[in-house]
Order: sequence, then C-alpha cells, then structure tokens
Amino acid sequence: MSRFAAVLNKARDQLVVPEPSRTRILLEMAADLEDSYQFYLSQGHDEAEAGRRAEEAFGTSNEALKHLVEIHESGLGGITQRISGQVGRIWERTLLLAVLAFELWLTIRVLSQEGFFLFLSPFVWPIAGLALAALSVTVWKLHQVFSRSGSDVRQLRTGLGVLLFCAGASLAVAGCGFFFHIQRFFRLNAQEAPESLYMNFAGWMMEISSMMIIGLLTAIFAALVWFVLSNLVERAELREIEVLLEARA
Amino acid sequence: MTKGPPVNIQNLTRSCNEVLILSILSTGSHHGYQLALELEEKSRGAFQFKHGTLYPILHKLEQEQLIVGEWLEEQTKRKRKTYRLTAAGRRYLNEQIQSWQEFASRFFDVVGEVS
Repeated sequence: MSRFAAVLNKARDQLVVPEPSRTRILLEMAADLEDSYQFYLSQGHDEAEAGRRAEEAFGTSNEALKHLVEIHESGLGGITQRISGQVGRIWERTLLLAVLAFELWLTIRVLSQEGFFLFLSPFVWPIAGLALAALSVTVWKLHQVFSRSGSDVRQLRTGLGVLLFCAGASLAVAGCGFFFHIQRFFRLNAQEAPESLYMNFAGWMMEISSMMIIGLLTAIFAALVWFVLSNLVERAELREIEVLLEARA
Repeated sequence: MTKGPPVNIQNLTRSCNEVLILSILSTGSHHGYQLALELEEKSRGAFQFKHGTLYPILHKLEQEQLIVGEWLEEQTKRKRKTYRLTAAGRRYLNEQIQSWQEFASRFFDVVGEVS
C-alpha cells in the first residue's frame, strides 16, 4: 500500500489513457513521491509532516494530467488495448481458452493427416517460420508472465506486437502464395495438352489448400495467443497498481 | 555562430521549460523529483517546479525521442524511471541554446533602447 494512495487515486481517475501507459505513469509518480517523502524525513521532519510536504511538492494539476492524457492517447495502441481489454469475466476467459485449445487440436489433426505434406507449396516455409517465431514468443511471454523471473510488470508487454505481426504476415504470405499458384496454373494450362489439366488442377488444389490451411491456422493461433497474453499482462498490471492503491478499497 | 531554430514565442514558457530540463539532463541521468530539485538549486530558486507538473514535459520529450526513460532498480530494490538525453536531444538542446541567446540579445536590444 502506498502512503500516497489518495493522491495517486485522484491521478488515476483523471488519467484516461490505455494500459500500460496509465500504470507506468502512476508507478513513476509513486516512486517520485516516495523519494520526496524520504528527502523530507532526512531533513528531520516527522512522518506526517514529511508526507504533507511531499504531497505539496508533488502538486500535479488537472492541466498537467490533461496534457499527459493528450500525450499518451495513441491511435493503434488505443485500438489494440480496447480490443484486448474486452475479455473480463471468467466465462469469457474460459471460452477464449477453449477456442485456443480447439484451434491447437485442429492444427495437430490437420498436420497429422496422411499426405498433407506431399504437395507442399514453397510459400509454406516462410509461414512455418512465422509460426515458429509466434510459438517462441508465446513460450517466452508465458514464462515471463507466470514466473516473472528477471522481469517486472513494465516489461511484460514487450514483444507482444510480434504476435500480431506474425498473424498479419502469415495471412499476407498465404495471399501472395494463392495468387502465385493461380497465375502458374493458368500459365501451365495454356502451354500443356488438355488431358493433363486434371492432374495440374489436383496438384494445384493440394498445394494451395495446404498452404492456405497452414497460413490461416498460424494467423488464428498468433492472434488468439496475443489476445490471451494481452489479458494476462493487463491483469498483472492491474494487480500491481491495485497493490499500490490499496487504500482505495 | 550558426543560427538555431527560432524560439517559440507563442509557447515561451513551454519552450523555456524544455530547454531547462534538457540542460539538466545533459549533465547526466535524473528522475523527475531530482530534476525539480536540481532546477531549483541551480537557478537559486528562480525556477521552482512542482514535480508533478514535470511529467507532461518529460513524456513529451520522450515521445519526441529527445530523451529516453529507463526503469532502473536501485539498491533498495525500488524501481524508478530515470531519464537521459539522446544524441538527437543534445543536438536540439544546442540549437535551442543558440536560439535563446539570439532571442535574449534581440529582447535586450529593444528593452535597452526603452530604458
């Protein structure tokens, strides 16, 4: 609990900015208030007087808080924050985890199908790289969130954007691959005899479908994990700020 | 002497505060409260800031990448955000100092004539 809970609560109410900016600003204010308090104690004041003087020296105004809101209101950050902050209730979180588990089960089932890897498009490999990157980030962030070893709450969001990038990039690669295969199919058909059309079409369908499936599953996986991790991180940030502002309860 | 960008007359106070903060940070890393104390001490009480009012200036300068804020853990295990000047911040500060010198010189040209 902070001895400056009242001041920080007042600031929190006025700081209508997305997380983690709000938590970070409040933690910065709390640290400075504490320093100021320690300074007045070292000057020989008693605890009550040191606290009063620290609050007086802090003296943040409504105008200053308004400027902070203007500075931290970000376009993309605000949108992703609003999206990731949608899941609050326990049944919503359970449903989200169930969807993620279903997606993982589906991925394993699709990949273990006999013959799935027989007709692989070359576009599958960059998508596989993106999936591996998303998986690595997921393991790293889960480790950070649950162990919190060597990291603090301010660093938990670092790297989450990579997941959204992987989701978008795998869709983009799959889209490029789709158009590449279409133009290749029509080019081959123009050159070859009509009886080979069926064989070309079957091969094209196999290549394109495996690529699209892997691309879509990677994008869905990365986006869902981003959603789950963003919620976990937000809860960790809120827990930290609630400890700081315990006096409010 | 190279002429820097003109001093922002419309926002003279803000411009002045930015230069004061950047000047203090040019001597080394500081956190918000230290900045307020040092500004007051170096100006012999002329510039007194409530440190709560420094955050908008610091965060704006950080957003413009003129300074960089880092969370550091102290020996007491407390974490705090300290700010330091970037290379771009140092260039901007030098330009602003030149502009302020030019501005003060012109100001006293006028004031001197009147008095």
